[in-house]
Amino acid sequence: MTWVSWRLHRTQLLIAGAFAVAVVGTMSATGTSGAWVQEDGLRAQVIVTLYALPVVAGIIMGTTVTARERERLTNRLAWTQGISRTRWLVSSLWPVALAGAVGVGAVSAVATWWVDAVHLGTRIQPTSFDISGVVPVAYFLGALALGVLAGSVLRNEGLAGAVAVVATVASRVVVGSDVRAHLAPVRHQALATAPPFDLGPIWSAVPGTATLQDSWVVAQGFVPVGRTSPVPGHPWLQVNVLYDRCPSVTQAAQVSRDWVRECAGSLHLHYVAAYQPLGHYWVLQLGEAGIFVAGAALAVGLAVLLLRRSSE
Amino acid sequence: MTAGPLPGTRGAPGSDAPAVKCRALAKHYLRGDALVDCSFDVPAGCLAALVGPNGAGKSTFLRIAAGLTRPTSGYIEALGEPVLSGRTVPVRVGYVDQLRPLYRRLRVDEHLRMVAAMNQQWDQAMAVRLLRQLEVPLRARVGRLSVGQQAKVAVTLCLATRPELMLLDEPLASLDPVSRSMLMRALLAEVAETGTTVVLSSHIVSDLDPVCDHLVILRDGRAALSEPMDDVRSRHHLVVTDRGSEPPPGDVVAVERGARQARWMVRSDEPPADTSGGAAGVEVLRPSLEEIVVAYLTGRHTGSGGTDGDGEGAGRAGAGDPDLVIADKGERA
Repeated sequence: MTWVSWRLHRTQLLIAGAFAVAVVGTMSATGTSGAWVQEDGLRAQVIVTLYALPVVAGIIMGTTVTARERERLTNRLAWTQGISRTRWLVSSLWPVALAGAVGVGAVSAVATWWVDAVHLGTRIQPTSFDISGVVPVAYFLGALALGVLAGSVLRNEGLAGAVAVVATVASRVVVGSDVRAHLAPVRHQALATAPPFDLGPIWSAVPGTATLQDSWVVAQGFVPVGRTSPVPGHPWLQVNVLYDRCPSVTQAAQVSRDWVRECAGSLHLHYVAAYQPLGHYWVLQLGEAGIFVAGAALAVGLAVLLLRRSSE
Repeated sequence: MTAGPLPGTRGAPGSDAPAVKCRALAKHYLRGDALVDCSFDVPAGCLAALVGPNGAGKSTFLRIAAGLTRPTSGYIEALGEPVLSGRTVPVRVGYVDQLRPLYRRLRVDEHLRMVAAMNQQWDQAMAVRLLRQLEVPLRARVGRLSVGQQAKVAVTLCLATRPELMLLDEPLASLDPVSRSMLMRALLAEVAETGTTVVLSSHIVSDLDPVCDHLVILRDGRAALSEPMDDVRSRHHLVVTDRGSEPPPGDVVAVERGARQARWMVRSDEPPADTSGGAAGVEVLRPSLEEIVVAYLTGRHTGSGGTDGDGEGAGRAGAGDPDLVIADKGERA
């Protein structure tokens, strides 16, 4: 049965492997040359590939196992042999899952080195976090399982793939924006002065923020003096709030760091950043990977139930 | 590669349970009913033909028997065990779908390897010999084979797992006459040794006449007839009378009235008296299998339970089951 799975996914695995080799090659070149500034476009392509490869490969391989068989009716051949549908699904799936996980893991190992080599922000910051460590392997398994699940509901391969893409992206967005930040205790730092806001907060201009520069700032803004987070039920106040509350300034052009400090002080507000330090990288990595692996197991379990019940 | 079932069980009289037994089997789809209250038996060891027009429920029945489709209601067992779609392992039941789905990009020999991996029993030597005999190239990709060759591959894959029951949905459809007889002969030669029960559906009655020993006629999702081929032949009589004369004795399956004559398809143990020499002019003929089948498919239905007066019900569909559908004495519209 391992051979069967390999034979049915051979082309896909080889194509995915070619992409993996290409991206690893490009990372090796850009990571060692040190001249990445000139290769910004190439760097962007590498990042896009590292984001897309685990998800696209997982979904294509997953829908092949279920939707393609059901669309082309070859499941009628497979399901009338001497093995149960459950065993058929499991034995079709695990060789692909294993091969894909090993491949994605190898690419991620290189990417973990590469994000530092090209100074793509520290590993805990979102872009680097998403393409390094162990989470890409979990993303691959999650996408694979969602492909399998979509294909056990929908008989059309293209449609199942599209649904799986939407479900995968949605789960990534939700976990990335709402769950990941809480996988380890959040730390807070109150700043003596608010950072300049020309292009969002610029930490390097604020003394004493070396830790923040390496961290993932998950929330920030003005909160009442004496607190490190907003009063429950209230938002983090951003700089635009000050324009309304300090009427002495009517035009944004007049905003200066001194004015911001004075205005905030008169309102008894200070600027606080909530962050996950770089040291929490592996806790967050393992936590998020665990979520996606558990989700994948759940999706495959559900697919087994659906396929056992499905009627041709 | 263990040996198949013991030989010598073919047609053993009074042997065990039927190979297939269904009672009040029904399958409703949104677009209509495929099977309605379908009941019949297929005795073990026979080669049974399942005939009926398109949409009569042949494919649905075979998919249910193979455990692919879940019936809406009713009971079905294969080889003495209840068929539960998707749950039990139909190890001893082989199935070939009407559409003969195969993996287009895999070669024929890769299919052999694949199906071998998915079965406890597999006769590689037989599969290779059969495919050579049927002139199917082993190294060819299945997508490149003709429809007829794909059918040969599908049937071979099924045969080589040495099933005790083979369910073949239109195995001969869209084959040229040469391939058709080649495949049929190969199939017969293989199952003759093993005593495998074969249920095959077809709408071409002439293919089945010489080879089948049991006949099931499906019409509108019900079994209109299920009995051994010998009984089908000996109990049906084509009676030609004057147009206005009374029905002949026995169960009238169908009647066709011409300008002067009426042709009655009658079912009775003894043929009606042939008085073609006399004045009343009743002529009794031996109908062909095709004529019998057509009579069942065109005769008017009485619906469930509407048996004829003498209660001798046509076709013992599902031994003693009262829900038997037969044609009544009415004329064709």
